[in-house]
Amino acid sequence: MKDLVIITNNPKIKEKFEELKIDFVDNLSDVYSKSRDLVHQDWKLMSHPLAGSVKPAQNPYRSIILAPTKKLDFYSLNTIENAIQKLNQFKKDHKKREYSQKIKEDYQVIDLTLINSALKN
Amino acid sequence: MQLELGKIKIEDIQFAAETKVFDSTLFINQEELLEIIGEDSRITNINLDIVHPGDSVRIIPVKDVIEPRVKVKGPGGVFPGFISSEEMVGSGRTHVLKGAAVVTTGEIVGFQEGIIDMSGPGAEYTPFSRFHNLVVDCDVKENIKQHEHEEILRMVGLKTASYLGKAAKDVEPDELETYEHKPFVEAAADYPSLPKVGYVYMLQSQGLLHDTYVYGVDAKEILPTLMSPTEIMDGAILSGNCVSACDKNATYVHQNNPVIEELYKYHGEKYNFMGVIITNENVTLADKERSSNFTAKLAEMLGLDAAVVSEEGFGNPDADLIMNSKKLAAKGIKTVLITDEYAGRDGASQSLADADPSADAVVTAGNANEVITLPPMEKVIGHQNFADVIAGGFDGSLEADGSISVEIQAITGSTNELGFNNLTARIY
Repeated sequence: MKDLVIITNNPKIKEKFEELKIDFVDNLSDVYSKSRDLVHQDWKLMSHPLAGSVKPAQNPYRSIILAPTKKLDFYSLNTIENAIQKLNQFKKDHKKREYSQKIKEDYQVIDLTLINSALKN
Repeated sequence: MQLELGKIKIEDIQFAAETKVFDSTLFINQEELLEIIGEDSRITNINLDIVHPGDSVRIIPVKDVIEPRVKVKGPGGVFPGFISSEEMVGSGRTHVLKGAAVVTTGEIVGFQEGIIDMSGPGAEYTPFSRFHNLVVDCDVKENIKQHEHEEILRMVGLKTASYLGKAAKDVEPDELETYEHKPFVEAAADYPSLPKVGYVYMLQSQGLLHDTYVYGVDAKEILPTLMSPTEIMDGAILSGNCVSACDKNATYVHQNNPVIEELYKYHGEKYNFMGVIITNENVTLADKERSSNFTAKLAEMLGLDAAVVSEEGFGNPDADLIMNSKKLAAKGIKTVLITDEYAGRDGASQSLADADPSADAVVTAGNANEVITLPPMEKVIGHQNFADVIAGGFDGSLEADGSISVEIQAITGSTNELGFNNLTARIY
């Protein structure tokens, strides 16, 4: 558990998992690109980068769990690249808008429950 | 295991002084029902509405759709693990109010989707517009958290369906169907010359608004297991799952899984339908590996020659789907996969987030990114403001006249991956 890192832009993750290593980034795209960079540095995905069914880009918050490994994990690389491709596809049709605080918090809760269920198992 | 489903045709629903079924009409005593479903002190208000096919009505945001039923003979009861005990279901006799449904709606999170239009072009995209629906709109106290709210609404829906189902207890069914599932050794011996076919039933299991329950157990906690198809037909699997609305299995869909019905149809003629393996779609890759390993192992233990695999949802479950496909194929088990697509509004993007050469027989339920304009309806039940781009994250736009331009992913059941939908491809 102590080796895990969570790449996230979700403030609720930062609050909830103080004991874990959190890499807090500014925005959704950074979560994905940072995760991809780590995969290239011999980290592997522990949680799926498209977890949950709120569409990529619609939920502005995302957290991805990674763990160190000994060599490049091709499955992780393939998975994160496919996820980035899907994110870009959805971004194209997604109207950028400012959400209210309540809606932001609901989206954060959805992301938090996904990570909670990942860490529980 | 033998299950009789007694179907009682419902052609109308009305509020009345007494809850009963008479002459294909379901009469509902509103006060009595409200007393039963409103007993939870966390609930502040419940509105009941009856809507019929063809009505100028929009229901939004839909959380679940449930078919009212009652157990009349044999062990167990409806909605095991929630309304009834943990007793096994799938045998005996169950009565069904065919043509009636309970639809739940409520504000669990600030962004919402899940539209059922009862008329107009939207109605053609949702399978639930053809039923007489009792819509239950439930509000809870302000301090109730999202998880608790989902649970309250889920229970209100199940209690309502269970209450209505009781009206069917002593009614003579219009149709009686019998389904049997034998112990595996006997089943295999029945048709030795036919290929043994199983059904791999993937259940969404990731968290708030993404959960499924099996006999009351959260599916993310299970290892893949064997089930009799009659257990599923008898309500052993329930939905807590509603985003995205297009490809999530409502409880109604679990109760009426078309893949199971179709597999029964040619059982003993084209193939030997051996049974169902249920599996989950969890968040971690380790869980995905473990569950797909178990699925393939169970299929091998059953001696399957082929399997139909249905997905629930999109994105990360594509990884589960492909893992199941690969691992079944590696054991020499042929697969047919059922999924839907997010191929972009122009249909030109890659449809799934994962792929593999073993996935060489795939059925699609449609492209969820297609855009449709839904005209205004005379009446909106629920919270149309959720469709507004300003209020929520809903990927569509609400016009001043009440019309909505939206991807069909927001329409409940439009690309259902069990084939419980209306989209089809035809060659002329």
